[in-house]
Amino acid sequence: MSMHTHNDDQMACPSCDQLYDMSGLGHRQQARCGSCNHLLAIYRKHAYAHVVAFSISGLIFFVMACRYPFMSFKSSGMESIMTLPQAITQIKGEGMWDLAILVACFILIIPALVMVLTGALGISLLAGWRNYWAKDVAKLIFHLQVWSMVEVFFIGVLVSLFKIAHMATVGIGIAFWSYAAFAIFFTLTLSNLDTFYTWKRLEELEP
Amino acid sequence: MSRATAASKGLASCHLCQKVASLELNRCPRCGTVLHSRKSNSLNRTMALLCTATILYIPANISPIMITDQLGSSIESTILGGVVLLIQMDSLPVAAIIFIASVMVPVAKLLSLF
Repeated sequence: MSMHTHNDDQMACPSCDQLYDMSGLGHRQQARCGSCNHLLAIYRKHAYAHVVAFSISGLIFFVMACRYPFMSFKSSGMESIMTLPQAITQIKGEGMWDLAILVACFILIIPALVMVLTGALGISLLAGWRNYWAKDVAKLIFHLQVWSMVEVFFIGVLVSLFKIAHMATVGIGIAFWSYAAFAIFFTLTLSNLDTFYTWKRLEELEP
Repeated sequence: MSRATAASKGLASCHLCQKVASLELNRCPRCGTVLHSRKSNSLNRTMALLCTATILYIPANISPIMITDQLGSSIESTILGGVVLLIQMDSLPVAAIIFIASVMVPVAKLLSLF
């Protein structure tokens, strides 16, 4: 093992740089910084099993959110039903292909990719595989997750729902609820992937 | 007890994986990210970005954020106009969300950073 093993349990507060020894945290115990109260880490005994379970559930809801109708609009006798991918192609159809690409990335591609990668990482950590890709996958997840805007999109949809409700009759489809469930599982998955403990485990499993 | 920070011991926490490693290594021994003790020129950067944000916040509130066309008539609405409209339409919770997220929190952040 490397020469840095002696400070495996050492952590510096990301907010104020105070050094801490993180050994001996019990199940569901949180560590907070004594000087600035920043949340340092949460230890969960079954974190990786939860990561795998939540990411698979999240992906199932994601597929449903793409396949089933998201919303329907009824205005002066005309009804149109729309799925999420159709909404994006419609933005492209109105000539705003750059916006369409951004929306597709932020609300569909990046979130789905993060879920797939997190699921794979969770399986690898749970099974204790010593593989060469786990670290790169973890790096990619921590870089990508800031660009996922699942909750932002959901709040945006809610707000615009109220705004257009007086112009047309708006119906909510299965995909709307599926996307809401996806947003919940997305958050649950990532909150079980604690930065400190994930990287500690990755280091232990280095090939 | 004096504060034992990572920087005071010549150590730095990796910005990506939080590994505490010697600053002399330059790169994190665990994930390979470049190590910094502090973000460089952080105060200058904060000031510059803060001024830009403050300037941009003015047209963002004065000019319309959305133009609604319906049956030939178009309505322009600003952020605050939208909030007022939603209050008139009796959807107070949504008006509150918009007001808190796009007026109260940004203004509070700008003021506290100055």
